[in-house]
Amino acid sequence: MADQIRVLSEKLANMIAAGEVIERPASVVKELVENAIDAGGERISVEIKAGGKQLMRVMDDGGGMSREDAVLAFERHATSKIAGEDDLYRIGTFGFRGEALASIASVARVDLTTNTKGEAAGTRVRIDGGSAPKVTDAGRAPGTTVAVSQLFYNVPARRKFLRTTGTETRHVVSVVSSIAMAYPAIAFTLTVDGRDTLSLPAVSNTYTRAQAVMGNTLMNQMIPVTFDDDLVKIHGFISRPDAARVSRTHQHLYINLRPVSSRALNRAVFEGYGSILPKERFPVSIVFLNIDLDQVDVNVHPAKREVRFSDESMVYERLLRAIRLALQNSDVVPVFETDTPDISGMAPAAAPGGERAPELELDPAMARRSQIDLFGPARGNGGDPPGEWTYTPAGSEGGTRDEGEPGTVREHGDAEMVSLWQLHNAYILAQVKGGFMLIDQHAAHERVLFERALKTLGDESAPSRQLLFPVTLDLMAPQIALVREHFDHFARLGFNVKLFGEKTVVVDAVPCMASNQDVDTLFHRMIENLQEMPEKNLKMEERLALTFSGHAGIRKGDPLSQQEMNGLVNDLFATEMPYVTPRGRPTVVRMPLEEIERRFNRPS
Amino acid sequence: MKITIPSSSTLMSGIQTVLNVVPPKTTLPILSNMLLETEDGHLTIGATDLDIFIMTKIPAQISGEGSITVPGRKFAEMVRELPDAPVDIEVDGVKVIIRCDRGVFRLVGISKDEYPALPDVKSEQTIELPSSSLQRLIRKTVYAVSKDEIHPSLWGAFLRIGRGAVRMVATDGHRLAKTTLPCDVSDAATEGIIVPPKALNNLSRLIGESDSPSRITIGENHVLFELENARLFARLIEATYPDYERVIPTGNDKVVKVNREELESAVRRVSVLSNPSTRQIRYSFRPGFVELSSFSHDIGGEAREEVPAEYEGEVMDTTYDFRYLLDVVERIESEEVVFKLDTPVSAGIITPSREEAEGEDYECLIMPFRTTEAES
Repeated sequence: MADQIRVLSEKLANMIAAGEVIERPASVVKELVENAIDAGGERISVEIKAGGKQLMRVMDDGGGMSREDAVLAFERHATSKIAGEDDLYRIGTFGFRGEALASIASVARVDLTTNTKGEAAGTRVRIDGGSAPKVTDAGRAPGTTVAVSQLFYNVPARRKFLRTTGTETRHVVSVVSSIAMAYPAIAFTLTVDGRDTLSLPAVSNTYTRAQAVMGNTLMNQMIPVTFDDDLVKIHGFISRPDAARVSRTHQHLYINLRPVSSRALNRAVFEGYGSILPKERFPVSIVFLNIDLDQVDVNVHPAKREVRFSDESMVYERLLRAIRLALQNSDVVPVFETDTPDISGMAPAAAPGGERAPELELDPAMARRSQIDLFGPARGNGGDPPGEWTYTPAGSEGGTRDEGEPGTVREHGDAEMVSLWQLHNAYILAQVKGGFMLIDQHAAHERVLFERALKTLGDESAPSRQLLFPVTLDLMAPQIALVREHFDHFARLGFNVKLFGEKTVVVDAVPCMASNQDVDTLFHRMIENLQEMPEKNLKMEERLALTFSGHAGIRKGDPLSQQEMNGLVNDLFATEMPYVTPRGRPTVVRMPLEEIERRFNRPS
Repeated sequence: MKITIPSSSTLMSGIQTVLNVVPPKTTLPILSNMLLETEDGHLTIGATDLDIFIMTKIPAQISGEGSITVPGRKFAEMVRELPDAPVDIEVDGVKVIIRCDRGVFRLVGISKDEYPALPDVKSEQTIELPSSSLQRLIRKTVYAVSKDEIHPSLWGAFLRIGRGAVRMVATDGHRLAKTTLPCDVSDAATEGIIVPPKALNNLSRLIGESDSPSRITIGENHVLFELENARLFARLIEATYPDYERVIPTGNDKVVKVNREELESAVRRVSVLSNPSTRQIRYSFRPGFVELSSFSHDIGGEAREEVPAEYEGEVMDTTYDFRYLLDVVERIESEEVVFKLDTPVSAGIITPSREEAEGEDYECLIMPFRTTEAES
């Protein structure tokens, strides 16, 4: 039998590697743009034709290459980026394998022009489908231009798999935007079939760049995230829950400025929102993680889309915490829709680029008032305290009610009360510093009950009221099974449930905190809700608290007394996340004074 | 219609009898009017909100029969300011002219035809009760009527007359009040009716201190209370009253006697530091005394007070809504209050220590909270 194993030709090896690295035009653009950044380019322009299938050209004004380097660059495993084995574990540049150019050149026609500073003549290298390079002189300012045309012209199978021009164009746009987001100091342009599609001038911070990429409207709905410890530094922006999208594709994640996709970390972002995202909604996020180079391995995926951490759970846990903190510390109150979104007061806090957004004026008296301090000691890790929008009982303007003054008993009617108005037995109107707030009474109570129920299910069980007339409920077998399963949970919430036979339960005590004392309806709804609720990623306690808070609270249409409104508003702002319901609907909308003035055509 | 009322204050007192019923805001504008009508040498003044209809009579000289409705609150405001002198009222079509002393006032009224008709209460049986008995029943019971909107049957107080007794019961599902008084009606008991608290409170206001007999006529949908100077029609709540007898425990054998005033003032003091949303106070019944305690999460305070009590049994701790307890204690007239208890989580019975009126039986039930040891 003849020998059957032979070493592949260099060309064949390159084509196989290309199969892994080069998937579609966008992969080429990605490799080229990354090279341009590694080369120190300050202005990078990308041009594509027919979705990149016909032509992709990336130009930079970076360091350029000498003639020898330019030729060598097309050799496989030729790279300027690492020299020794140690470097492989401390990769700070995009490229390092020296695969990209060789791979591209094996499946397309590549035309590279480069020049370095101080050299008279530049170099032009042309390679067609891995053929021998043709080197000539070329005039060019320092920097490199790589033009790749007729991708996969020699690999018909791959060519067949390319999508429509529109789809491929979208992929290219998304690759360029995604990289551009991480490098605000580099100017990017993208020209598609001769039209300027992206034009991103160099700016000083990520926020401004993100505005240019994502649009003002979206960025106005984002809240800043910052987190910093020995292991990881996190900064970025996440959307307010009400700005969440229907798809997961708006989560942008960067590890050491490299765009990556990580199911685990995307999940951390998602989990960070807990239950406050509306059903089937996903956050928009732009999150940058900076991790020590030796804690992360980027040499996992051929296109480097995935990374591996030496301790993923630690990173996960920190990202989750960062998101939680950001949501807690931020004023996530939606503002009345206005045509001038800049005045929303939702200005970004510390933009990570270093530029600080104008600080909101914080009433020092308010900051002292511990009772209504919305966010407690957790503040300080996130953005600005939402001073303007702190809910302050108007009666105590001037702030004398300190912690060390236990004599004031606001619940017994002798304390100063804020004037609150109930509108249509559904909304509470409250004056706040800087404008007014409208509070959805049902939503607000839902938030309050949710957190109480969670606490109750956690450590302290809640008192319940005994019923004179116990309520008998007929349930179906699966519902009875649910009741059995959650017997203990129901008891902790304050329902005293007894099972009678196979189909009947008797409830003879209900939670004191429930406003809706219609046991029959409340209990049925909860059970039905529990049945329907997908397992999702919620903990059992959260699901129970959700079903409870959804049905046990004050409803739309319930008239409230001044005292009840005060209680509700105080309770709401004592919660951890007063501005959204556990299901992600807003509890509060606000109208800034500036907006009122604008509407009355008052000069402000 | 042309009449003269001997004095403006007489007219005013008539107006005040019914004014309460005139709804301040209404979707049916005619309801903001008051009915004026001549009847047997009297002027009848009426008002309704469709649930309650109150009519009262005041003496008047009638020189022309007739009827009209006038804007109720405006009319009342005007009459209130009249000097104490005879008042002439003359009605021509819808024009109403009121003369008093040197003043002349004109109003535009609306014809009686557009005003809701009096409910038709037909019954063979009319029951007579001393007004003071009705007053006692209402005062001791109606407070416990449910204020939430869940069970229509609990929106009113249950009234049953017969077999020599009249009984009123009210409950909101967490507490219950039951008052029984003897009466002359020896027939079999009526089925019992459910009367809205608003009607009963108005009735109580109309009765005041009066001790003349009240006549009660129970129709199909309405009940009519006829007093000395006024008639009150009330729409009945059509529902089946829950079987309250069943929930009143009979085996509560732990009997505690406490001085009413001492208990009431201690509850008020300890309540200051109770949880404002549940209003719970813990009662620890011990031989010789009962210890009240509360704890406030909000401000981190706590209160504790002992009240002497006559009690021999074993120690028992239970927790009640202080508002519920005060509601009862405030209505008890005897010097001492008696608790009859069984277990910490079953209904407690509270009664006066003696019969407060001849043949009266007053009993209140309060359901305790179910709490864990950590809660006070």
